[in-house]
Amino acid sequence: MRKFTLALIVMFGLAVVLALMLALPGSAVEAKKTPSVKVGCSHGLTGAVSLAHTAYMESMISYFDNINKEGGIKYRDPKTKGIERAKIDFIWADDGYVVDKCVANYTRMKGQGIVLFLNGSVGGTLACQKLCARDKIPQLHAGNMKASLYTPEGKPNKWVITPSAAYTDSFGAFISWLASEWAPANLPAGEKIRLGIITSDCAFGKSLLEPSTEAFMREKGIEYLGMIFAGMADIDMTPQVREMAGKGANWIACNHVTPFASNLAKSVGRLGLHDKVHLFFNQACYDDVYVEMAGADAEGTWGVGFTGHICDPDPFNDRRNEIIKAHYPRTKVFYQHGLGIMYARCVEAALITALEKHGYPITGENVADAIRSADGKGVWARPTPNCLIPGNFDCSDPKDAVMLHDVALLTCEQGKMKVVKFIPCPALSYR
Amino acid sequence: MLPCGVYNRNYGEDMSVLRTRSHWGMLIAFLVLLATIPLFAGYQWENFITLVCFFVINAVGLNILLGYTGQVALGQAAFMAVGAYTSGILTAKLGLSFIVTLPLAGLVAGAAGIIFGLPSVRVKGFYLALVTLGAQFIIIYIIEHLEITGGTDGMTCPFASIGGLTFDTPTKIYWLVMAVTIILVFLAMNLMRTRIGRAFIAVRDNDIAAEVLGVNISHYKLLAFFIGCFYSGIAGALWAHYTTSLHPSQFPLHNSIMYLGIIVVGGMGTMFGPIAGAIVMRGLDELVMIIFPKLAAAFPSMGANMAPALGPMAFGLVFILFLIFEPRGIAHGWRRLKSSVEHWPFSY
Repeated sequence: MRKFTLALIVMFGLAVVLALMLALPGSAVEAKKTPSVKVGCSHGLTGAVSLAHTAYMESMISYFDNINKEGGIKYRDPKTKGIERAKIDFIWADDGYVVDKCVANYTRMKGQGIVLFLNGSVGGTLACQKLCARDKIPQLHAGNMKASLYTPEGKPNKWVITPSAAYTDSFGAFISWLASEWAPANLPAGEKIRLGIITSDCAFGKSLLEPSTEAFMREKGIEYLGMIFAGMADIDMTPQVREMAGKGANWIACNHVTPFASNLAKSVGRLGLHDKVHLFFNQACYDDVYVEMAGADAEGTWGVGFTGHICDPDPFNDRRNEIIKAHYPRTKVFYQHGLGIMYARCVEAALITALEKHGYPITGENVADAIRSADGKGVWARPTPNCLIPGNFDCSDPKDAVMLHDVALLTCEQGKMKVVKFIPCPALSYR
Repeated sequence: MLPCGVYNRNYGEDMSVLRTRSHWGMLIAFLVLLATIPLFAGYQWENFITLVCFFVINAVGLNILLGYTGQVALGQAAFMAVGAYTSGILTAKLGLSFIVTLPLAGLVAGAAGIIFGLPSVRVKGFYLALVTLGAQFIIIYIIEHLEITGGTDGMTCPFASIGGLTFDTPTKIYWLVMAVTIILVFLAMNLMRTRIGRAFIAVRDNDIAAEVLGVNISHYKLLAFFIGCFYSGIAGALWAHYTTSLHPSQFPLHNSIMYLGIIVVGGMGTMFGPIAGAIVMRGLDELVMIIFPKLAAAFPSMGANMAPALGPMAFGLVFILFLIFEPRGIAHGWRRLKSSVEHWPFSY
């Protein structure tokens, strides 16, 4: 026993030393073929939102691996004027949706020389926000929070790039539609919309609501019934739905990933409440897998979505599936994979733009400037299909401006997602 | 254990932490090493040690509460949140200096600790664990629903600033966090050698016997909660000005469990334990985060999340192994290792 204890201590000592050696700049881990541009990514591959984040990560790993197999990204060097290539050294890690792990990942990756940091947790985004700004490394993230999109003075944050409207903004867009269109057509005069939220007790789940959203609901005459939590596991939510229905809810909203959303729909179906209680899902949870998992219970539910939904007919999508399947043959490719590819293509576009302007090597500031170049379109103006904002992005076209200005209102009809219309975001985050 | 030939001849010598010149030499060399790490080590080392320090402060606080006083607490992350938000709000909204907000953060967290520690006067063991678990949820709920904290939207605060010196670079933050950690560890080490520390230990070992001997156990239990949570509050304040952004999700139950794990792995009721536990657990965390993506790259058919999922399993395995084979933690193993080396070749 005693020998085992000593061995245990020695083993842990070695483990710590190994970890630290791996983290050292210039270690074998870092010795990659040059030229390469380092991009860091920390996602919650385990924990509360692992389903969505794993899909993002699988897409990005596959996409960058595919680029590297082809010799790297191509760019015209500003000095030699010749076509050069640079590989993408994609450094990724799991943060388990835990903030201090996300910070640890960021700081380690920063030490390894990344020029762009991607992450997806709400709390992690906020925690890394100023660290990224201080270190002049742009942060591309999926946790769309007001506090990360804007500086405390209300100006756009140069170092934080996000793919869509803040969660509260997209929820606000739905609130607008509910009050202005749905209620007059569906409710008897004088009857109020009564909306409750059933979501998971994590930062992402709760991010629908902030004080401005509650005020906006009051302004629109909606009676807010409060928030009830349900566990994050694959569980039945019948008690929560029954409680909300008991309060007189005619709408239940939720912000979480697929199994949660589909279970919520099933619980409503189980109680036979489909005609009485309508469901709304915010952004990331209203997807094809939700429809598949909820089955018949998905019919007639509503949600708002990213451009992933409206980009579905894009010819690149077949290629996307091939790329992911080549790397992860057993993975079921779904909507969140599409978003991951969008992230990857945005990174690619940003790096190409920065390399073409500054040549190799590039800094984080070069990448940030490339993303937000003077014409206001930045890398999004590149002809890059399936970028977060379409290549031919035009603010005046509601279909193109869907990302930061509008959201797509979706419903499920006959087992298929259908874009009903584009709703302007009320910009609650600007308030 | 004193080196061969060195004997304590009076009470002062018996009580001294640093007994010989070589002890002093080693301490000074160690402090110089810690202070100069940023000069020769990279950014990653600085940040690794900075993050370890947050763990150390919290674990030392929990160790006072659980390791020395025997009061089970599962809400340290929430008390850290109290300190973080106190300092964040006072600096960002009231413009107070960090030198003022740092102790205030500790005091407010300590006061919160007393409130949630009140049941410890009547309950103990698993029941107390549940009460403190309640603190984790109640405090985070309150933070999420207050406008001044930014609710679920979070808030930002400035970098720590003392006089004209702003701690806005990793190196400056390292020095600040390291200095505070050393002071807090030194205070905790000495606290355990005072009347208060001995009362804590008496309460832990047998509260009825302690009461019979005249120890006011209610007073000392609450004092332990205050001090333990004061440490978490200080860690929270440092964390707030390290990230300069605060969100309720930064202080999850996961972290509270982790602090508990740190002192279990490191060794409860020792001062070396929380430090060793924090280094090992943080190091293991780093190892997991570095190794598993490589494992996933080597075996892509596992999918991107299979290999990282082994990480939490590895942590669970570490806890189980320690609980079975070395329940007194690394500190105990280290003492035995040291003893066997010092007695070699005549160790028994």
